[in-house]
Amino acid sequence: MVNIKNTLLIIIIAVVFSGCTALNKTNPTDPSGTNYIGMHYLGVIGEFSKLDDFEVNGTIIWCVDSQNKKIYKYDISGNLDYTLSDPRFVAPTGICSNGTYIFAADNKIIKYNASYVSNVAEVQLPDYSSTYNFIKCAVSATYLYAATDTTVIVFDIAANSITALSKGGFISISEIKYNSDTNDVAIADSGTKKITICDLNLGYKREIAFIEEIKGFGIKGNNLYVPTGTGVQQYNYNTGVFIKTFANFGEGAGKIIAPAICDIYGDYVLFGVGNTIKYFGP
Amino acid sequence: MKKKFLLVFVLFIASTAFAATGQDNTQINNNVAINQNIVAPVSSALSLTEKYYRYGDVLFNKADYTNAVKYFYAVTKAEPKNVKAWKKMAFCYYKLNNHNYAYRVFKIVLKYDSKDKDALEFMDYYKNIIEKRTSVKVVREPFDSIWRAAILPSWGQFYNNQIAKGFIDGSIFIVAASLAIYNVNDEKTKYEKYSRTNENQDIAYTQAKESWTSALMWGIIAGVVYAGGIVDAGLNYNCDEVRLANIEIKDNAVFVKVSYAW
Repeated sequence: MVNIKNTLLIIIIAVVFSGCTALNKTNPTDPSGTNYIGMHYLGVIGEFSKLDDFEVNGTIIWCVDSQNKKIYKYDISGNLDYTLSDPRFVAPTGICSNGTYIFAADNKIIKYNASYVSNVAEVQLPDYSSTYNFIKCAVSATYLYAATDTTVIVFDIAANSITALSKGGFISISEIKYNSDTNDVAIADSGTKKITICDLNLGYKREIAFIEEIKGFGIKGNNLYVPTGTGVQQYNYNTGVFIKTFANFGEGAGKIIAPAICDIYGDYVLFGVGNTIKYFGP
Repeated sequence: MKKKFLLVFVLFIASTAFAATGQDNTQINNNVAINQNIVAPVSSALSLTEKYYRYGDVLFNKADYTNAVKYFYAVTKAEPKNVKAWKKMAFCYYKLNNHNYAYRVFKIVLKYDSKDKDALEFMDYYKNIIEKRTSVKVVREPFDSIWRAAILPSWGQFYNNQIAKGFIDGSIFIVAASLAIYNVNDEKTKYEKYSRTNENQDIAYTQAKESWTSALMWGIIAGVVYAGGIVDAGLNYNCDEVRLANIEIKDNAVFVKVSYAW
């Protein structure tokens, strides 16, 4: 009888506790999970009609909407500081800033004083009367790099004049960025699916080839982030070696499912997707 | 125990049936439509009650107890203190195995003649039977209750005749087990959602964890009630309630006594 009782007791305990298994944090996008792969979705910034470009400068995010024909100024917390409309805008699709000025790429490059932009202390780069269909732009300490579909033209900011520097031969430029860490200019061509890295005078240095379309990219130190249709691919900027993919897992807003524009803030990576900016962090 | 219950139940039913038969007899005897042809002729000098007694006696000797009892009853109807007739009637019922009536009639005999030797002997006989029946110990083993409680919570309590406890125990177990199952499913759904989400992981995980905690809590309650029910069934396998589920002869009637107690 004692043996039967003990057996029954063991069976009861086994039945009661058999289903009691602890919940493990196995989600690879969960920073507190055991198999976290890095970079998880934090939220969104802004709301636009058609976000064509944005650039992070310090703690400011400059955004341009070609449909609304407006420039937006957000802080890094996602608070909208103000918006700027300009009657000269046709369809602005690029924006860049060096902290002192902001530049909008439209059929012309229009320069604004970043500190007094609310007062519209604007200066169009004066000595270039022709109109271009500028798509994107990037700015270094001395030069403004403005890209059309196929050509990058260099302006002297201090002189407000075009320079003799330019680089053509592209099929469809989708993004251009100045990398202050390496003093490079990186140009993405969605036609050739390559990122060409040049010096400040647009001298060729190297290129990185991809198999997917490139709409935008972000550079932080040695890391190159490229949003694609299957998540964000991270490469070594110097060697072009693939490191990992993130923002490709699961269901929800924390997923990148199409090529997108991109920029970096500290350890955070921001992606412009249609009508908002998605914010990812470690 | 089951056999005993069955025996008592059959006895009770049989008694009821015979009681009904007795009523029929009464009706027949009230009419006193005696078929003179079925019995031997008796002297016409005898009184009617003596004739009936004789007729009954003849039938009794022919082992026709069913008809004999009618004549003896007719005698007692006319002469309620006729001890001989009462006694013969009691013998008839005894022969007919209607012990319930035999017992009652012998008591009437003793009422008019408390020293009647035959009646006293039969009363002793019946008292012995009653004592034996009431003193028979129900042989029960703890395991009988335990295995029932293990297979189906509260079955052990019902088996122990602890009906109220069985209902309460069973109800709590069903509610707790149902909530545990619900929360397990809820937890699985929410954990699946957490596993697949790529945003607000903390919120999704917390929701899954809350369901998991609820499932665990209700599971433990169900488990404790289940285990407690088994232990309780084992401890109370021979409790008063179990023993009280028995027969009792009281006020000249046989009762099946079942106590519904905690």
